[in-house]
Order: sequence, then structure tokens, then C-alpha cells
Amino acid sequence: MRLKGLALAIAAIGLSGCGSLIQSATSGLTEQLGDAVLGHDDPELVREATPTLLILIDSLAGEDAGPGVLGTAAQLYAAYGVVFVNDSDRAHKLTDRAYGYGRRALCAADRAGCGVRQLGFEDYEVRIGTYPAAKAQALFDYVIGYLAWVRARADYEALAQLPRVQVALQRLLEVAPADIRGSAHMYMGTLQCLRPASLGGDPEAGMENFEQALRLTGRRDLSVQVEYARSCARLLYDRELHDRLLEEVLSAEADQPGLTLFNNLAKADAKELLGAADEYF
Amino acid sequence: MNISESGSLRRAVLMLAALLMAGPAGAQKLKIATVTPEGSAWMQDMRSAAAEIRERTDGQVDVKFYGGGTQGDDLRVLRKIRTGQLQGAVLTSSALARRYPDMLQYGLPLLFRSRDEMLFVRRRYDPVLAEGLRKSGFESFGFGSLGFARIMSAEKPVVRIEDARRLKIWVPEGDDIGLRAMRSVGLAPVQGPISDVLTNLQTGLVDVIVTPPSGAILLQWHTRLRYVTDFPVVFAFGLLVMDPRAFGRLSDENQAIVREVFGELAARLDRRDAQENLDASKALANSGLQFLEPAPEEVLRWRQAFNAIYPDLVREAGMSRAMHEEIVQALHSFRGESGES
Repeated sequence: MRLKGLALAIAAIGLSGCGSLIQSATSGLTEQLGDAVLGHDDPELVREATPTLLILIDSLAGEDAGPGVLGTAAQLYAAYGVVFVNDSDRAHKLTDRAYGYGRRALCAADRAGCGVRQLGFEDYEVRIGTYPAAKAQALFDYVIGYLAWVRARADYEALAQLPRVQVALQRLLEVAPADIRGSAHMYMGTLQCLRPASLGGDPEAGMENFEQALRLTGRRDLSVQVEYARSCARLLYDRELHDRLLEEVLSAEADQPGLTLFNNLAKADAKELLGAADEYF
Repeated sequence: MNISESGSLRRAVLMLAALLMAGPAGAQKLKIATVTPEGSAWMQDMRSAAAEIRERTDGQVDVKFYGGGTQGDDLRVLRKIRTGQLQGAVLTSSALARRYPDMLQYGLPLLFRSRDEMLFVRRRYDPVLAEGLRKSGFESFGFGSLGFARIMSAEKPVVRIEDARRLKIWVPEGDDIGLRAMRSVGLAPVQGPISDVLTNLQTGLVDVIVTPPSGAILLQWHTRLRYVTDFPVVFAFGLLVMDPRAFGRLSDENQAIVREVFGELAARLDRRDAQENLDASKALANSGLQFLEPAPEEVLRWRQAFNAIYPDLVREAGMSRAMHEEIVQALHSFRGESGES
């Protein structure tokens, strides 16, 4: 789901020259090409190929672009900016775009999503809390762009935005289809495990959200286990849970339809976290 | 390879394994608790300090920081240090004041008018307080500033002291001097745990909080706040302290390394607060909070109200009156030297 962007952009390349290529995004060819990327086992190759796709998606996301293209652009920039770029200035620029495309997607899908950045927190809660269920995909694309923007910065400006991200995630948990909810549960769990209960966090709810994410993804999306270990298990100093989740990732099959690329990255993260566990616990 | 070679190789491997195992088993473990959230810049600095100590002591000293308040509140952490479950902690001045009341000297409301004043006083008195702490049973390694707390309100702006009299002001559990101070100047404090603040702001059980800007964002209270009254109210700081029994068990050489690395850590944290709170204030403003600047005569009225109760606060908290008067005198002379009144 998170790499829907890559899938669509690859589709765009495959059909380059065709004006209506994004409308064809759900065609069999697109799915095959998308699966080829998502199912790729070489993150380095994807990293090198993606900039071309970013330029291409920019050219498609003109003023009259629909929520599909804009959401794809948000996802693609988010994934590339957070996963593949180490230079912080570049990550800021790329995730600025991810967040910008996310906001445009939210507005293009439904007027209720227009101008939300300017709303005070309470008005924002009402607007996002009633965002149409049928437009959950656009809301999800917006959340991914927003989260990438926050993650690339991690300064006070970014931390101040987390409650707004949480409001959007809450709405997704209420109305989104199961594939989106799997990811939304994971992100919600991560946010709830940022602080212990004594400082207003909610690790208990966070763990419940991760358990839901594991159920909804059938434990095949290995990034869920990795984030579970990294956030809740570490916050609660639960080494048994931490190591069990990460060992599961290491012994799991990375090759899953649409998940191979991210599963390989998750395996690398799991190895690193386990290696540093003695220092942490 | 013949059998005898293989035998000696096996012995060598076993010896090496024994040596490797002896490292961690013989290492002195220092468990240190803090409420600092995981992932924060403070926590990253603490973990690098732990890694540096491990490296420089060849693995003989193994420092573990337990972040995010997972070891319990200040009282519980103090108890765990006493029983040897923990060897140290990053604690607030109010927690340490239970053992050594003079830790509250810097925390009198409206004592400092600026960061420069605070730095001036601290240059002279940080070593005095560290020595007092040592006599009270804590080895300390430097003060870490959290910055100046400011008044922040949910619905109604607070400019004059009278504005605050009609509102419910939150005081953290354990901050007894804050509670006494508020009551003494006719305000209505409500004491409670940090975890309840957000809900209480939402439901109107609390109208006003006093916190550094960084705290308001880290704890996400900013979503329920509208106004920041922009003058320094209370200087907040934390200290990295250790149980002297545990510290004393380290070799002289390792003590020197721990002291140096923790000292640098505290200094780094201390330097960072000004920029952090500047960034946090900007983020608060960008989130829509309105910054109110009371006229100088209003700030003076706030100051006069609190200055008048210092003698009572000092006495009731068990602080040294002589030290308090010296600090006030030092501030007078600093203001005179810098042309302020």
C-alpha cells in the first residue's frame, strides 16, 4: 500500500507518451509493472531508478491533476525522501513535496479537505473527523505525506504537528478499507508509543494497534513487526517482545507479493536493532 | 592440522571465550533512570555518553539509561536508588529538594528576569549546590537547564495577576513550592499528574499551565492552549545524579572517566535549552498560539507579589536563608552593573 506510488509511477514509464496513462493505472499491465517494483529484492536498484519517476510524476501532477495522481506523487516522494535520502536538506525538500501533494490530494478528492492547514486544531478535528469515508485513499495519501514531512524534520515544528496526524489516522481507523487500516494501525501504534503513560502517552493502546496491524497484514508486512519492536517494545523495555518480533522478521520470507522491497529493508532494520539491543536493554 | 594442534587451538578458543565472557560479567552496571522521552536529542546524547564510557573503560563500566519515565515517577526512582535497584537518575530540582531543600533556590517564581541573570547566578552557585547535594547523599555531574517556564492558558488570556486569580492553575505532583507559592499570592492551584493535564485542559478542570515551551509541545498540550504570557516565570532544570555508594565502587580511573563524560553531557544539555525553547516558541506561534507581552508595570506587579512571599517560602521549604539572601544580593549587583534596576 505504501508503495502504491512506485507502482503507479512505473506504470507511467511503461506507458510513457500516453496522455491518459494514469487512468490506465489499474490495468493489468500497471499491476504487473507495479508488482515488479514492489516485489523487487534489490532496494539499491529501486533507489537509483526512483528519481526519474519523481520527475515524471511532477510533470503529471499539474493544476488539473486528480486525487489519484496527486496521492501517488505524495506516496512516491514520501517513500523516497524518508527511505532513500540521507542528506537532511534534500530529505526536507522531498518531503515538503510529499506533504504538499498529500494536501492537494486531500482537497482534490473532496472540498472538505481544502485549506485544512490553516484551521485551528479544534476546527481541524471536526473537518478531518468527518472527511468522507469514500475518500479514505486520499486521506491516507495525505497522512503518508504528512508523516514523511514530520519524520524528515523531527524538530519542534514537526513534533507540534503530530496531534494533527493522529486525528487523520483516527479517521482512517474508523472508515478506511482493511488494507489501509493495516498501515494506519501501525502508524497510530507508533505515535501512541512515543511517550510512556506517565507522560500522557498510551502504550497499552499502541500495542493493541500493532496487534491489529499484525492481524490485518497477516504478519506478511515485516515493517509492522520492526516498528512494533522499535517503538512499543523499546518504550516498555520489553526485551522478550522486542527480540521475538525481530527474530520473526529475520526468519520470515521477504518475498511477498507487493511487499518484497520493503520487507528486505525491514530485515536490514531488524538486524541492526537486534545488534544494538544489548546497548539498549 | 594434527590432533595436538587441534587440541591447543580448542584450548585457545575456550580461553578466548572465557575472556570475552569475563568482560560483560565483570562489568559494573550503572542503571540510570530518566523521564526524557526516547528519540529526543537529550536521549541520544545520553546514549552516546554511555557508549563513550563503555569504550573508554574497556567495557568495565556499562551505563544503561532507562528513558521515558519507565522506572516510575521521581519518588519511586528515589526509592529504587536507595534500595540499589538503580544507581542514578536524571531528576528535577523538586525531587532532589526532598533530600536537599536548597535545590529549590533557583526555582523561586520570578527570581530571574532573564537568561543572563540565571547564568550569572549559576556560575557562582552551581558548585555550592553540587557540594550540598554530595553531603546529602548524591554525586552530581552538572545541571541541565530546561529553560524558563511561562504561563500558558486555554481559553482566557492572562496578563495581569488578577486575570490568573479567576483561573485554575495546574501544578505538577511533587512541586510543593509551586503549590505554596501560588496559594500565597491568592491564586487557585490544582495539583495533579502530568498524564492528566491534556484531558484536564480539554474538560476545563485546568485553565492555566506553567511550562517551558518545549514541554508544551513534547507533551502535546499546545493543541488545547491559546495564549502564552511571554515573561520568564520559573527556571526549570534537571540533574544527573548517582548513588555515591555505586560511584565509589568504580576504580579511581573509571570514576574520572565517568565524571568527565557525564560532566560534558550535562554541559551539552545545558547549552541546548536556549535554542530548543526558541524553536519551540516559534512552533507554538505557528500552531496559532498568541504571545502576550504584559506591560513592564504589570510584570513588576507579578514580581512584587511573589517577592513578598520569598521569606515564607524559603522558611517553609527549609532552604538556607543566608544563601537565598546572597543570591538576591548577587542579582541586585548584577542588575546594577548591567544598568537594570
